[in-house]
Amino acid sequence: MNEAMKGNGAPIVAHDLVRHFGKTVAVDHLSFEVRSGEIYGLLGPNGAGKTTTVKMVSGLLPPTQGQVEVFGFDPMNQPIEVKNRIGLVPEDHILYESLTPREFFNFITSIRQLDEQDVKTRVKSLIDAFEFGEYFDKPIAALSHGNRQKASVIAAIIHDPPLLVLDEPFSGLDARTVRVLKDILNIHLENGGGILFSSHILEVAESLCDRIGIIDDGKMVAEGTVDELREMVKAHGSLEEIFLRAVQQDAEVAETVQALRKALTKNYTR
Amino acid sequence: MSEIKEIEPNISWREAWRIAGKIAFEVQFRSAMSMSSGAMTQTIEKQIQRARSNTRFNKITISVFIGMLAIVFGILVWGTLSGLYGTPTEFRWITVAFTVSMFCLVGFAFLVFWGLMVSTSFISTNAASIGHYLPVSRVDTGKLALLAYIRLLDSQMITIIIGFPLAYGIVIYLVYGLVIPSILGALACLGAFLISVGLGITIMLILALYFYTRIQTTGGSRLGSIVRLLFYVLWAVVIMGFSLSFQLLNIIVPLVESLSISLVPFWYLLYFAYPFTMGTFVVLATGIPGTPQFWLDFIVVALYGGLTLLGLRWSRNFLRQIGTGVVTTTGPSVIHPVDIKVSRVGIALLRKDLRIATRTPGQAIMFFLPFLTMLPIFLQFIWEIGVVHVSDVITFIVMPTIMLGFFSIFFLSVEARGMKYTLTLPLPTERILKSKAQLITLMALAIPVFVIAVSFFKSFTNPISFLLAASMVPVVYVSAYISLVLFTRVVGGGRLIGFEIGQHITQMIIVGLFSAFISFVPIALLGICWSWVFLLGYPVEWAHFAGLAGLWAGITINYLLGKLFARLFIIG
Repeated sequence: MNEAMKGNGAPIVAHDLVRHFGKTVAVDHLSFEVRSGEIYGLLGPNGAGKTTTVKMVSGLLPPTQGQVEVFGFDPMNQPIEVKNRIGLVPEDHILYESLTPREFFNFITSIRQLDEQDVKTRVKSLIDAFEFGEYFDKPIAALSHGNRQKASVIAAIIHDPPLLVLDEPFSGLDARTVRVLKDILNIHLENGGGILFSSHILEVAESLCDRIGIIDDGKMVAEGTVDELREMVKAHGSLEEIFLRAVQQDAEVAETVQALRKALTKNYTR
Repeated sequence: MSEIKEIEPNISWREAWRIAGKIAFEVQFRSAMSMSSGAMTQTIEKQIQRARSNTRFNKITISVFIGMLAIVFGILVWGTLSGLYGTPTEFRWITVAFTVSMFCLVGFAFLVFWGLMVSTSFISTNAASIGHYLPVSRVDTGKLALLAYIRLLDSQMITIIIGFPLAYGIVIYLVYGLVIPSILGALACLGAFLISVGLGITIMLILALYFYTRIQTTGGSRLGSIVRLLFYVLWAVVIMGFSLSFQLLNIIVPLVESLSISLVPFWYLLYFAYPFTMGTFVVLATGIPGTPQFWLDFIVVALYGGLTLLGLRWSRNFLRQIGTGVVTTTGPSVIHPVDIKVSRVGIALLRKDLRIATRTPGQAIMFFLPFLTMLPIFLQFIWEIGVVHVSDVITFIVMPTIMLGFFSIFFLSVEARGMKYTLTLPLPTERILKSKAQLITLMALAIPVFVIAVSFFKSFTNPISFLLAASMVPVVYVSAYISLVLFTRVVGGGRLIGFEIGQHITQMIIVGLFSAFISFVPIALLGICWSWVFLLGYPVEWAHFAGLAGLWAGITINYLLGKLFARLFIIG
């Protein structure tokens, strides 16, 4: 970890965040903290406000109300300090479509003014780890979903940032790459970095995250370790059970499945 | 395992035409979305509505443009046959044949180069293969792809096929008052333009496939860059040709006449070659006494017709293949060693913008805007002006300078959806705006280059002209910078925002007009200082230097104004 890159505060401190889009309240008085050396999972159903929160933390969207601090810096008023310390994997992985990964990485390393020798070694090891060499000179537009995601992940960690903000980082990745990425995240944590992990894939979150915040309709409905959450919502079993109980959808889901069973049951062998 | 049974075709042509309209719109919408900036400020419903109205607007504009070309064609034929241009009687029909030939070529080139963007989108968006995923027969899937492609270019093709023959038939009737020759001539003209459009479609699809495979989906090799550059140069020359044809009619008319007369001895050879075959065929079919009798031409035209049918058959199969998703659109894979080169921030930004822009036909055209504004003036210099005075140079350089400042906002659209990624980088907004202004400044270098080019043909009264032309480069930089800052303030509230022509046209005009005014400040100061010193009775050389000093004072004022605006208005 490059100590000089760090500010004074915790990786992320979000306090009373609110974000409106017209009359819609996407994020509603959300507070949480991501500490050094931990993965904080932000879980929630589709449209819960996860991506909006990620954007506010990364300085891409101003909050309507409340504050975020990234290593003590305000993402809206000190965006350069924050963006230098964040490695972001956005959900939609929009990159420069007509550039090749080589041109893209040359560009971002130049913008970040990284040391050429260091970055060369780093990129080479990442390319090898992700088996990405054969796509290095293909335009990003021509890459598959999974390979774009690899490019997005490499771009996020190329500058060795102390904070990773990952919005559905495993989307489209094969089993090997998922394993490699999990190891990269572990090394990052061992180095004392922090990770904000947003996902709706509960199995991955359960195996990775130290603490989890469950949001629904923009509000924090439960927060803690998996055991604490289990205790909190009085649910047993997997994170899926805890999650459904927390967002108060367990009974509704059971009813819906029952109704679906009646509608869908048929005998294909007849 | 049993064989998969082929589904019987069951979509009528009428139904297919309706569905093809939806596929064609999807192609246009996806293409527009790929060009829009990541920072969307409109709902998806509004974007769909906007794409729909843009499509309609484009079709109308293109049809009007081709219609105007058909009118120009009609005027040229009428002027020649009625003796308005003073063409000797014995050369009138050969001039008409030459004119028809040239406009066949124009129709062909217009279709190829204007439709290339659409064709590339048709391949790249993959929208036409929707039927492939549905229980639709292969024949119907191919039919849908074919009709969708036709619907993308229907207005261009229909206007070319109808407009020119109609103009020809009317002119023949007006000049000779004979119904049969005018109908026969119009029908022959229809055949000639049908062949041109058919050949155009084939060439356009071949080029689009090449463009997509070799340029868009194959990496950034040096050879690829050279091919790309050559391609755009050719493209710009054709597009400029259309623009120039309106502006330089007074030059074109005598040029056409003298060329066609000088070609008379070779005409027996030329009518084997497209487009001259078409011209002689139309003249021959018109059947007015005195027209040249190149009977062999019928056979040559039939051969071209056969070639066109072969081309159209290939095009139909190719479009069907796109529809059924069996076209290979990736180029050969070459693995180069992994290497990273870190350059200066400014260089990296410029390089990235240039790469992105030159790989997208819609954006590449922006780079030819200064040439479009300068070339007509340049040609007038060459043909009409004897000795070049300082005042001539000023009139030459003012318009492109103002135009470049005005167009600077276009360059915010270079990144398109990549803008969303740019926002994640530790780059101050002002730095990004500066890089766009620098990009347009690179284009402004064309101004002194053009003046130097003029100097090869003409003698100059004063070398200060070169200094003046070179001084336009910083004028463009500061006005572009101010425009970009103001646009960012007006549309993005001070934060970086992409430019989308359909969405920000009003703001562009307002900011562009202000930019034009800003560009004019140094030029006005040049005029004021020059006149003041000259009127005080000092030698004209002194007046020139005073003008130059005024110009640089204006540049400095604008530069400081830009800095002030940036400090006041830009956030982040």
